[in-house]
Amino acid sequence: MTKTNQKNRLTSIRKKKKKEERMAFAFLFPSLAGLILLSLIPTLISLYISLTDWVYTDGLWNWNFVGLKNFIDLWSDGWFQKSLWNTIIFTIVTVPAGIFLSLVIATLIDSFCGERSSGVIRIALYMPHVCNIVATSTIWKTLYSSYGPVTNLMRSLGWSNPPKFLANYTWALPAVMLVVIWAKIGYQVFLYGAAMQSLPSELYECASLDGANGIQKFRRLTIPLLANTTFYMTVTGIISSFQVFGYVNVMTGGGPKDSTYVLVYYIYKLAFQYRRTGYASAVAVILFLVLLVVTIIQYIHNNKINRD
Amino acid sequence: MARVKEVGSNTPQKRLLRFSVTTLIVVLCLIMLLPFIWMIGASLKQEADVMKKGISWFPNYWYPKNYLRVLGFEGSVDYHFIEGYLNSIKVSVLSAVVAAASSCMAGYAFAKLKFRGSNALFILYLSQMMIPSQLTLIPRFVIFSEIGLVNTHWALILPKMIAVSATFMMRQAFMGTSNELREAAQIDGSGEFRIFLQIMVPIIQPTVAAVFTTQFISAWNSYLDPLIFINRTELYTLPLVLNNFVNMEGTQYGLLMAACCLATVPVFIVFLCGQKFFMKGLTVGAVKG
Amino acid sequence: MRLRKTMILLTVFAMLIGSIAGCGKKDNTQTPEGTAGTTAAVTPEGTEGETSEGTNSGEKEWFGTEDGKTITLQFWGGIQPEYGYDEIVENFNREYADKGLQVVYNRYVNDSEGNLQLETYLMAGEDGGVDVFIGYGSKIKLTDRSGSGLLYDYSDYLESIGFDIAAEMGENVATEYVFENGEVWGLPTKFDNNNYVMINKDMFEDAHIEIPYDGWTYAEFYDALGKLTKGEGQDKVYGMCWNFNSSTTAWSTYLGSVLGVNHTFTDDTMTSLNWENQVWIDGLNLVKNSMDAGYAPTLEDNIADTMTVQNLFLEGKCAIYGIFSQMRLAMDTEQYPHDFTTALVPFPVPSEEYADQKTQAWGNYSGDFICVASGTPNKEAACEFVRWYIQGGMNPLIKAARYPVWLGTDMDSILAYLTETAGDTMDVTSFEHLFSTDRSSYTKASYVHKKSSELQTVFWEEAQDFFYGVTPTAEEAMAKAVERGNELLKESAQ
Repeated sequence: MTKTNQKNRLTSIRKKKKKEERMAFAFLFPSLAGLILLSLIPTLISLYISLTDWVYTDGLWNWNFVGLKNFIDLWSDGWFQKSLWNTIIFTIVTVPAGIFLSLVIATLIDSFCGERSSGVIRIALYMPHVCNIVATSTIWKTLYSSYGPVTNLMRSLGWSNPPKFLANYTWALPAVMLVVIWAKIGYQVFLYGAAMQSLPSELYECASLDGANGIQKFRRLTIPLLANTTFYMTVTGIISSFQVFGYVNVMTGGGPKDSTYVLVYYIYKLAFQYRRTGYASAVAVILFLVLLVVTIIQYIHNNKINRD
Repeated sequence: MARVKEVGSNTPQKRLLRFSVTTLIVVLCLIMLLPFIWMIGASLKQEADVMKKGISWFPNYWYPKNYLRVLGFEGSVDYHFIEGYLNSIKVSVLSAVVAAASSCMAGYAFAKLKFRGSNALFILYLSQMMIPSQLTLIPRFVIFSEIGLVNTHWALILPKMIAVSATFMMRQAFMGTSNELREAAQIDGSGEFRIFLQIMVPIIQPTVAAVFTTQFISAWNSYLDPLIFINRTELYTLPLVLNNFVNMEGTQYGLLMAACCLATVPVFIVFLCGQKFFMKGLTVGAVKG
Repeated sequence: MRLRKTMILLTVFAMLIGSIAGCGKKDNTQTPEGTAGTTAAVTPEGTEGETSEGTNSGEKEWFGTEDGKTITLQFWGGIQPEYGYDEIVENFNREYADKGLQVVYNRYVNDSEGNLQLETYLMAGEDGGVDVFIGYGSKIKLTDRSGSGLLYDYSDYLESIGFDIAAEMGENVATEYVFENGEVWGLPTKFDNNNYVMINKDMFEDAHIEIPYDGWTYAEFYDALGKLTKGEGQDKVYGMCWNFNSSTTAWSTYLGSVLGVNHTFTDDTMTSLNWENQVWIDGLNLVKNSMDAGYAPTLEDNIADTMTVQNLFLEGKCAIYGIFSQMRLAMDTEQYPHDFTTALVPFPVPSEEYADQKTQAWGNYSGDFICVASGTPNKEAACEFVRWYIQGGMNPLIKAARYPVWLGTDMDSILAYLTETAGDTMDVTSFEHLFSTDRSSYTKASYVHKKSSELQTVFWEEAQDFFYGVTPTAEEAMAKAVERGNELLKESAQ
């Protein structure tokens, strides 16, 4: 192989690379245009607003730079600390619990139900997603009320004086968490159910021949084989759980007292009720940074696993 | 499918297991269906009965008038429900089409094409989900009104060009497809766009259907964006029409729930049609690439 | 495959056609028939002439553009059109058909999203398409919006037509809503007194309690609660239900009413909080005691079971509900079947020491502010509409239980209309009392602080701690609230 030959090949590879890069941007064009115009600019503006004392009714370009004051104020803000803490608890509990439960339910459906019935079941599980949030939160408020089914169930299970869940300082947050897990589970079961369709059945047959029982197969085969779906669900799950808002807003309004304050609820209240949009953006920046770090760690970790 | 079933011989033990699991699943389904059942019940109740203390699933006194009033066949008020319905169908279908097309292309680029900064760009995409959308609302409104999108349905449809979670899903799907097919086509001299359209998209076509379904549902339920970007009654989508039943003294639950029940019908249809493809679609996406 | 694609295309096409067709047929669905009669009953010709004598706007004959085009005003409000606005718009458009001015009503929802929507459109100025709107909330909201430059100051216009706010709308309205430098950002239109409560008159009669039209004291009130409360468990009828669910401040407005404008701050410097005042302590204890004694649902039950006018008061499960503004529901026997009569009475005062405030005559009689958007190109036309609306144009809103604050309103005809349409559900005598209270009583303008909303939250949180028993006494709860409030004040002083 001569030197020129090698050089030619190198340039052709480089050319090909260049071409592929151009191609990639062609493919990304619509999405990138949307990103820059309709998403990135508003996001950057919001980030900048965190350094101002802007009020949303003042109009854009009409802001007063205050430096890091908002971020300094955060340190002594009890509501912020409470909502950050609640959000973290919320995520730590609901994301793994939701993923685990949906994995188990999806496995059960996959193993015990026929094709047609599993279709019906999946639609049923998906209903909370489809129904109006007013309906879903009203029904849960009723379930949790003093003589509602949940409270009565607790009574019949021997809890002589069950709390009034949504009106109780300690129980309100767990009660909302349960609702959110419930609301999300259909979507997750759906994704897992779909992913399971394609798992290589030969592997399972082999495992059966080796005498593995259901639980062993679940642990040794199902969980690892679904890692990719789990990755997608953890990343999007953490992001959406950090931004939980709808159910808190409709069911408890942050209360009683501040027991169900979560970050986006507080941001919303700050931005539009207290008219401190700049400060609200500072809270959002903290939220953004936390999520960015968590996501990058997950992403790098996942790339590493994929390479191995 | 049915990987455990093959062992499902008919020993009494297995049958018991099967019975208990089935019961469990049925109970679970009922719990998930509660709001829907309640919604139907409430939509057939007279206003005062809806929010009575305690829980009642079915009306004591059937009151189908709610439906007639919502649709404008009875009572003096026209809520423009049908118009809202058609607007919602138009916006949701177009949103889903835009989202599916754009995320499909972007997902392909991220999964199959090598370019500098692809990881960083992908993280940048993901980061767009990390700022609460309520906060970017006002900046978005200003930009949209600058480019003349406010008070057109495009204000709701065009932002779907950047559907991050859909792009993520598409990326996973393309990553699951084999590289050999693509390479073979390249050797044949096919251009990238041809490969994409004629070979790759058909393979993951089910995922496209899946994305279409989820995007349709999210556009269908979207409330805050239409509220801010649209202020002409004739352009209202369904969630805005539902506001007619919310007033300062409280919500008219009977009417609201009747409207909600009617509003779930198209979602059902799209879901049923989509489910078949959805199931197949995610298959490809979920298999490790 | 191909078939499916064609079908999708066809559906999309069909939908597009459908929606275009949908856009074409606009709302021609007003109800001109039966409604016209009510307006006539409410606005007898004579009254308008009398009080608007000084105003000369009637002389102007053309409000459209100079080149002869008709201006169409976009008017925003929070009430469903069928409760009066359809009729208002129709009346106006008929009256102004030859004067180049028309109006269209747009309804927004008066919640946080709805107000965000309204403010976004106000911000967009001319493009926003809001000319005139009705704003809700208190003076705080008015101040915030004017501070951001969203509102047009129509004081000059009022002066030009010789509209004297004090004479036309009452001394207290002038004091409260003419701002420091004479600006008028919005005027209240609704005759309101947030210090009144709704009572079940039949229950009062059954318990042989005299209806306290002219006010009462905490002691009398508490005594009555004891008599009104009966039953146990699910069938229990409470004497009182505190209004914790519709807003976090409604219940406390009652308790602080005798403090007038000093309910939050001790004076107009707005530097020291008045929450440790004995009035607040007494009030909080009244609430707490009524809940502990079982005369009122506890805060916990109230939240857990979402106790509203609809599911408690109208169901006959409580004798008094701490709200004024939901009378429309009490008049609606079709949607909320009930057979008792609802009356309005003043909220009690702490003791005889406040005897002169028993009728709550010093209360704030206002709500539903009519404002002109600063971005509207049709300022003059908008102002004309404001004048028309205040001076009798709004009368059809009586259907939404809203009574005009304008002194020129013929209250007798309103009472006659009430007797006729709602005489069997509402106690008209209590309206007579309410309408005849002396509205010239002078109040000071209320203080508006930048942190008002946050201070309200602090107060509510500490009050909750007291009602839940976390903080043992009202004094301690208020001491904590003051401490936290001071932190906030310090922050804003920086």
